[in-house]
Amino acid sequence: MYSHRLEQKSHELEAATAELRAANERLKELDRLKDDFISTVTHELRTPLTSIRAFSEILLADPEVELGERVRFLGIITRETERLTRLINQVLDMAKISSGRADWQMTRVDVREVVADTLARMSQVFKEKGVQLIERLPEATPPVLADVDRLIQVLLNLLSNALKFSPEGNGRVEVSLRNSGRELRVDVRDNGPGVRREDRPYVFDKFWQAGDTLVAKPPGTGLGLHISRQIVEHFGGRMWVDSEEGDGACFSFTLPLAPE
Amino acid sequence: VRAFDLAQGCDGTKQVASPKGSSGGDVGEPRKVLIVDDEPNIVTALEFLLKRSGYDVRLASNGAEALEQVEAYRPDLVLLDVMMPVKSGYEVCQRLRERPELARTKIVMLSAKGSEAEVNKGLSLGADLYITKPFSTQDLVATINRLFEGGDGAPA
Repeated sequence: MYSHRLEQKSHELEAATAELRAANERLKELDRLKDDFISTVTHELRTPLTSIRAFSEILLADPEVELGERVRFLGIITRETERLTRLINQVLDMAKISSGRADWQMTRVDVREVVADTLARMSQVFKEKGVQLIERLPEATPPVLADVDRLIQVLLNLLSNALKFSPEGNGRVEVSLRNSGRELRVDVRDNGPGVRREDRPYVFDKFWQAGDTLVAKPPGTGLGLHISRQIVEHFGGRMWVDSEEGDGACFSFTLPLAPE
Repeated sequence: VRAFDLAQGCDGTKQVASPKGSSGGDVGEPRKVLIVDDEPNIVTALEFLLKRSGYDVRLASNGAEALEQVEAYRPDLVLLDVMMPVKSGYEVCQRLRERPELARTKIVMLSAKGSEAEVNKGLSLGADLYITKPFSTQDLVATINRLFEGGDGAPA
């Protein structure tokens, strides 16, 4: 009797130990991810800083640098400063959202109106790049619960991504809004190079960037889509990408309708 | 006869010997540097700095290209970024150091990753120096010049 109970206790202990061990592994993995993140942020911050410092020193040390080069170097300094600023803002924004410290002004939002306004705001930059912007919006949509500014942030991000990857001259971006009865769905479709099959699982990862980075890094931080997905999920929706390589990409998200 | 040019120092106060070949190779030929980095702006800065200091410069924007260029160009120095897609600087360094005929090729790692572990990894793979980004352009050029003056170019 006694030995039976002892055996049982020993089993329980073994199970508890295994559980603890698994929990410990999970913690270690989290710790590793955090280290990776800090190391990536550090790298991404130092890279523009390296260019800024190098060109500033070059211009400071040598007043004889010829005019064309001087202008080119100052252009790099300016652009890299902007990149650094964007990066800092987005890292802070992301930290705020994932730590739950973001301030969400949730109200009943007319998504049709917000989409139409945002498209109007972007129409000029599309025109400048010669990219056609097509909107397919219904007459009216029922309200959803969302933070208007954050929703605009998501739309601007998807639109500027679509614009960035659209071919100049014959680019075409189509934005549609539909009501399925339970939720609204927004699609932003471009006719750019699309997302490679092997890249699709990583599109929403922090710091992931599309394009052949060896040839030309697209200007961006690699955080926009990650933040956008977090925002949509906060509203109770989902965000995903459909794409065939060479045949454009379609980024979609849903927003559940607000309760009556 | 050893040809010495006096290159203009970065700040005008310090004069550095130009990097003419002093041992092996053709006397008077400028030293050859291969710059490997996937950030075009940083490549532009390094190219400008080294050309101004009298070096012959070629560029590669990734690890695979770097290995090809080493074959074709036979540089005296490889200035190697660490974090590159496809093939990292560590991998390139390791591949170069596996080949005894390239033992005299100097390797300087340039990286935005500057933890002690990263530096040690680079040095243990056979890099002569590991310099963290952002760097002082003046120090960088002086350090590279020193590497060719026979000394080890004592790392900062």
